[in-house]
Amino acid sequence: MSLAELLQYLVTGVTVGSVYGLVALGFTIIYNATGIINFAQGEFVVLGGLIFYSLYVAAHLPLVAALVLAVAAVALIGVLMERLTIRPLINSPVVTLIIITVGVSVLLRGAAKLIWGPEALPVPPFSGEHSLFVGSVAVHLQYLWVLGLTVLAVVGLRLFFDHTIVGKAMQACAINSEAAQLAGISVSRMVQGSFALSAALSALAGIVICPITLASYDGGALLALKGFCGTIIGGLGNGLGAVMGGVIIGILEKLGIGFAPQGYAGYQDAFAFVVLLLMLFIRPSGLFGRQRTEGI
Amino acid sequence: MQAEEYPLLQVRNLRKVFEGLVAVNNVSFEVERGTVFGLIGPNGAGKTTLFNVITGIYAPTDGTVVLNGEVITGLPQDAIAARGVARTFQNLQIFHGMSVEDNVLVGCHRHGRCGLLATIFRLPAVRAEERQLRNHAMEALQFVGLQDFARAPASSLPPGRQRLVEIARALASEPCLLLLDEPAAGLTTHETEVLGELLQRIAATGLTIIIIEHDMNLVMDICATVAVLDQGEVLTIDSPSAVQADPRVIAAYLGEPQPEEGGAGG
Amino acid sequence: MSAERKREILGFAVAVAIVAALPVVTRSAYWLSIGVFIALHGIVAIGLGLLLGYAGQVSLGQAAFYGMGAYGSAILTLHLGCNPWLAMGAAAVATGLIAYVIGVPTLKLHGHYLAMATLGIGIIVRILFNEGGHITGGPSGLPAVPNLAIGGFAFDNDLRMYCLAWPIVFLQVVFSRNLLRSRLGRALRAIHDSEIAARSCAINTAKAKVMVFVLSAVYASVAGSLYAHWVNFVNPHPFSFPFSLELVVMVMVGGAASIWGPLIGAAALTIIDQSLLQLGHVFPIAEDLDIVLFGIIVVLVLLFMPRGLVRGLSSQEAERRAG
Repeated sequence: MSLAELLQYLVTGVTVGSVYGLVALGFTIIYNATGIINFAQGEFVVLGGLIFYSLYVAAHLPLVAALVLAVAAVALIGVLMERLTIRPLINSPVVTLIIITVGVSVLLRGAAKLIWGPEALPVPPFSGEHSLFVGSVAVHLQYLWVLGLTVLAVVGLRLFFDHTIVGKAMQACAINSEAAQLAGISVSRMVQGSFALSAALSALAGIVICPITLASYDGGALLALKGFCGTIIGGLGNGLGAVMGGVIIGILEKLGIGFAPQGYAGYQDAFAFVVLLLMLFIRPSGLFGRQRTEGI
Repeated sequence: MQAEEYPLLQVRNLRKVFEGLVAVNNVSFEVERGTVFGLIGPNGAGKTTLFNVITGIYAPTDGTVVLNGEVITGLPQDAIAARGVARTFQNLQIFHGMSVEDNVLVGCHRHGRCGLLATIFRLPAVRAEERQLRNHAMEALQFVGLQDFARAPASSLPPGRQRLVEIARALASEPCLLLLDEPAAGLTTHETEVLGELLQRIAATGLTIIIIEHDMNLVMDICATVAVLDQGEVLTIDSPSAVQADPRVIAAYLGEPQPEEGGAGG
Repeated sequence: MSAERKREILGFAVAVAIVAALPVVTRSAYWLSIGVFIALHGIVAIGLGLLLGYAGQVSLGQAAFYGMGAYGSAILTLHLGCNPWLAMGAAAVATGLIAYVIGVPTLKLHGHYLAMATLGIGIIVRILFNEGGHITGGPSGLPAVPNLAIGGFAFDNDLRMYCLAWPIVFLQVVFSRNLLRSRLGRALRAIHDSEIAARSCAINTAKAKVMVFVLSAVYASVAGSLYAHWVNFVNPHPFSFPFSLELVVMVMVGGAASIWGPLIGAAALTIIDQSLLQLGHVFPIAEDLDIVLFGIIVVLVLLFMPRGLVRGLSSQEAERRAG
């Protein structure tokens, strides 16, 4: 493999990786607020892409308007999910909570299939089919959208958590919800907020990636899993680690294809899971995580 | 047996730190075979944490626990229980979905050997083992006086009897060391009397016991030795009467409301 | 004989009678094949029910274990000329080993890493089936998987398969009962109620969970092998993620922590699935409804009957009697 090829794979890897990273961040936010691994995370991504398709392609709305509306719509779905299915069960065993998120994911996927049909829908790239050339490495302009919006989202989130009252309150809930409650923070509002935020981030990921991958009702499970691989690599609960974990998965996956012998490209999707299983076997606390002590 | 030369339990320089908070600090003591060892001290002194370290729920930050001459620090909780350390919990931990008898049968777990395949085919060995465990459990139930409640759902019993279920469960494991964490907590005066009588009988069987208890009368009655813990450290280890007269102990309790003492004394 | 034991035997007899009645009432291949499907799904669901209800863990890769049994049987008989019974046993052992390797590290961890790990295994296995070249037959699969046979008697039609699959289901029910009424089963129920107290009774909770997980995988594998030897054909499609989900739904609907619950759930969901398929011939949209319907069923059951149909109904009945 030449250096140019290697760089090309790296660029593609970082791009899809940042989408996984956004999904991973979505997982982390809900996990930190509730201790739940939300299996419907992938459906947020899918719905982001599909709603964006309807607004941008079908209804010819301007790009920014379509993007903002689609993100807002999915955030609303996140809020509804929390309100209708999580809140009534919040004191149930964790296994029940996990299965309810699986149930919601199935429901959303089924609804998406009914509304948008089984075919994958094409979305045009935001800035046309142009590429930027850095030496001999082609960087599609859509890649820049993906990278730019990811960076913007991560930085924005950091600022939100560190410099706003609501952000700090959410962090307080994540660290110790009882203490936060004593300090007058409404934990259930914060949990709801975490679902909205998490859904919005995932929707954004789905929107920016759909011109590259097409928008389809059934891509959610795969994306969710790869995002989850990212959170495990980053260490469950560690936001920045999750984003980096996602990027690492993206790079490994694309390099994997690059180095794989002819005829084995079909194994691309298996790659991330092999990494996931290896991580679970070798270092479940993640590359950037620390071992937790278990208590009663 | 060579092990007989050692005290049953040796706790050496035990230390447990939670994220900067020192819960147990440099605690050392020994418990002789066949004696009842009391552990007292104000709330938050680190008594339950000490139990949790000895039974392997927490790994200690530093120090060792030696049982029968074997270092057990760092072993998982179930491995320590398998060596004959049984316990009860301050906040009841009965299996609420199971009958009283089944609760006690779980205590017998370490005496069973049959594997999964033998079990699903219910081979004669499994039947024989079941019979044996059931007899065992029934003995424990009779000892604590719950034989008439064997089939009742454990969660249907009042808290005082649930405490007895926990004790029966611990006894059914035929432990070499029994740890009782505030067995009288939340019991009525009458229930406490019944419990005291039961503890006397358990002690009379020669079982080694460590007991955390606020009820001073109970402690004075059954303990040969008492250790006083304050803010994670051992204040003194002595006979009950000497401990009661110790001004440092009184100082440690000062400011602490002592309803148990006053109530039981009056 | 205690009243409890009498009720147990009566329930078992009623179930056997219902199952035995179907071939007497109808010889329609359609109904008998649904009967076989219920049995196969039931075998998987009973295992998954033990895992969900007693170990408190969920596997989202049970379809993959089902597939491993099916493909294991197909590959061993077709490529290596293995006896079908032997192939079934070998596939079950191999699947159990794989489950063991996944279970040991993930079940030691606190939380639900098993769910994600099994989801990952499910997807890897699906890809292996698809990309396995001539070994797995790729997307089009492997045809001509031989039937199971005893001497010259082959289980080569729906009725015969029905008569093979259901006794296995009932055997499993007996196994589950034996397990739950024993030291190991009490250990599982104890873990379900309080892990900390279970460990203080010398129960190695991680080991017990691995044991149930492996058992559930072996059950799934056996069902998969029966499937392959029955339809004489395997392809990747039936063994993908949606079926794993459907299995979880079956268990949750019927009720995890009961012996009959998962079986009843399997029957209910299989019938709903088939009805939608039939309805789809008339209204094409009905076929797309199945996914959304399963989602709605899970959500409603968890919200309003979290212990499943069997426990849910019996506890309501108990409340009514008490009131």
